[in-house]
Amino acid sequence: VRLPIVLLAGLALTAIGVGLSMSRSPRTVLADNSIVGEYLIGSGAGDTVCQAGEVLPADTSALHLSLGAILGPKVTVLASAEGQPVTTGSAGSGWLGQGVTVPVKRVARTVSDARICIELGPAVEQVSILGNRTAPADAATIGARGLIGRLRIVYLRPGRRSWWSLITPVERRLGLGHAISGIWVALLILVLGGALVGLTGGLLLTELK
Amino acid sequence: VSLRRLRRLRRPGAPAARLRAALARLPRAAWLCALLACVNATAWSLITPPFQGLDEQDHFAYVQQLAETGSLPSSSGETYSPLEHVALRDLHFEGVRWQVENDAISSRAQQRRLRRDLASKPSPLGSGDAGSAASEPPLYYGLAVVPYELGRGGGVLDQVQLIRLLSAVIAGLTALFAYLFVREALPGAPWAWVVGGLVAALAPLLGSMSSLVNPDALLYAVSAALFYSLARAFRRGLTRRRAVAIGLVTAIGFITKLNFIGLLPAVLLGLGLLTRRAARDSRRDAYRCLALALALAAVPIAIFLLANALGGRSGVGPVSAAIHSTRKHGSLLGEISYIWQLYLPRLPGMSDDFPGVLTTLQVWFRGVVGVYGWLDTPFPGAVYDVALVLFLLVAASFVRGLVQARAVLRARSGELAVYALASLGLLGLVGADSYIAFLANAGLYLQARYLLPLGALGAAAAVLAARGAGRRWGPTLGALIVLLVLAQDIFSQMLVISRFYG
Repeated sequence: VRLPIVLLAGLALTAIGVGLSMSRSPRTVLADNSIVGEYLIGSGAGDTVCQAGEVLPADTSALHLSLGAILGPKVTVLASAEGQPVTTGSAGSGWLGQGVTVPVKRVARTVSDARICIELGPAVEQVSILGNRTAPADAATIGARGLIGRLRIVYLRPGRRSWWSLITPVERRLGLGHAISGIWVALLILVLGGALVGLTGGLLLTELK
Repeated sequence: VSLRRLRRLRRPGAPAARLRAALARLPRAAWLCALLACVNATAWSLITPPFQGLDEQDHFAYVQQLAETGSLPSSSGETYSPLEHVALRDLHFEGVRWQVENDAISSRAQQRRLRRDLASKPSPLGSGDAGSAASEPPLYYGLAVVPYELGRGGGVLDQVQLIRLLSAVIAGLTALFAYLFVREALPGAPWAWVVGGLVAALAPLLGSMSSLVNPDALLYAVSAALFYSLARAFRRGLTRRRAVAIGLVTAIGFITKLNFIGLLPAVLLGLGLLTRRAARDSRRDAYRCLALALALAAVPIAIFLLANALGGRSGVGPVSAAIHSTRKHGSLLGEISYIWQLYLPRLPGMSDDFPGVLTTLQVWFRGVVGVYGWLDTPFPGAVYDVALVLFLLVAASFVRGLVQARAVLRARSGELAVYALASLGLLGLVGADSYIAFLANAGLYLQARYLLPLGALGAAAAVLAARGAGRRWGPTLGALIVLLVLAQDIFSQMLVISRFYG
């Protein structure tokens, strides 16, 4: 196989991959439960955390839970209302940070007074449950025990705009909060990216003859 | 006297002239790999918002402390200077870190507030806190003082960007030494060297880490230089100049980052083997070279011990504190079992230290493929599955390359043992550190960046994989490996842009 053909095919495949990724839509926030996830309200591993009184908006396709871990366990979500399951989903182990996004089956219509139960798999260390202090009657539970507050939950849905249509806002944001301002940041990144591709291709063609 | 010295330096035999001649002899491809690594890291430096690189706020505080007061940080607290505090606050540092639903600042009003608050000239004098960076040796931070001072007129954002550009230049050195290492270690197929150099230059983990205010950038370069120095001495024999190179690089490593200690056993074994080989010609010269290398390498250790003794701290500072902590709370068997499971699946009879997690794949493989931001920004799960299939195909060719070269490798078993010990030493050190944190319930050291000092060996593995496909198909496979890493880099940059600016 001739090297230029391999290179062209490889770069074309990468370009197609970029195009396909850009045509996807990022998840957007539908609503949150008005809880600020800045306090540690409890911790657990291998436990189930339940929280009643949630409003599950129509079109929800993922839940972002304010759980903190360095090597998070598998997280399974089961939402129910009036004893009937509404949706379910899970995220695998190995996540890190102060939040985990759990994809769930799309919710067809808004469900008020839903009960969200979060099953935490076995973990290397305790998972922090982040939220706000509330009255004991409103608080989440872990197993049979009450926590000191409620967990922050953000409800997400698939975005309606592709990354292509978000190029302008993303380019504008890239120009904020950096040493260089404005469109120059995005342009520089593009020029450097082009140089990477061009130089790499040229070097491969000359050296791998 | 100055004129005489200048003339001496210009003489063809003078060290500076020799260095110039050596640099001029380097192949064009090596320089281009260095340039590519530099370009790649520069792009990453523009993509990652200021202070949103791993622990960047701590490393910047260290540089600031050194530049403003001329002294090293005195505490691992996180009370930064008013200037850094204002920048972190107005950039929404805490709100963005570990919280993937929050983007970097996104409105002109936020930008105006940031500019206005920074223009009010808050003090750059801190309390001496540098968070997790406080215990690190000072070389990188000392170098970073130069761009810090150059950016003083422009403000803290310019200073951060200029220090990041210093790291990007150092990334170029890493790729250069990786290329030179594969040239020395695998001289049989010159066409394949560029594969190793490009894999190092385009690796997104190296690009992203070497685009930050972070001494890891220099650690990677020094480690690659160490592998190159050792490979050169193994191929061409131990001379006084090569002994000086190994000693100097080791000394530089010690004053760059404590993780370099993990490579020390390999340096000692390497010097031992090289000395034994050189002693066949002249015992006296061989032992002189050994003494020279060890003496040079030991200088920073001696200074470190002296500084700790004068400061009333225990002999080897944080290292002895770590050993003490392990002895007090853990057990040797427990530690060995933990370190094994940190990298490999649990064996029967071991207690489960990582329940529900297969660290080999979920931590290390995923980390090398790409987990960005504050390790809170992974690719979708399917990407790792595809990457695993591709990795296994390349690994199969690597094994074939090893088998084909078995006769040569057997003859160079001593050298290979040195590289294996370097890998074990580094993995063991990271594992031991992680075990201490595990016992204290103070976090885990589960970051693929800790493996990057072994990047030169990774470059050599890519070369062997390309060679494994034979002379006919090798260049094609080599080009495909490089294109895969290039694609990985492009998609990684897009992922980080979507994380912080989407």
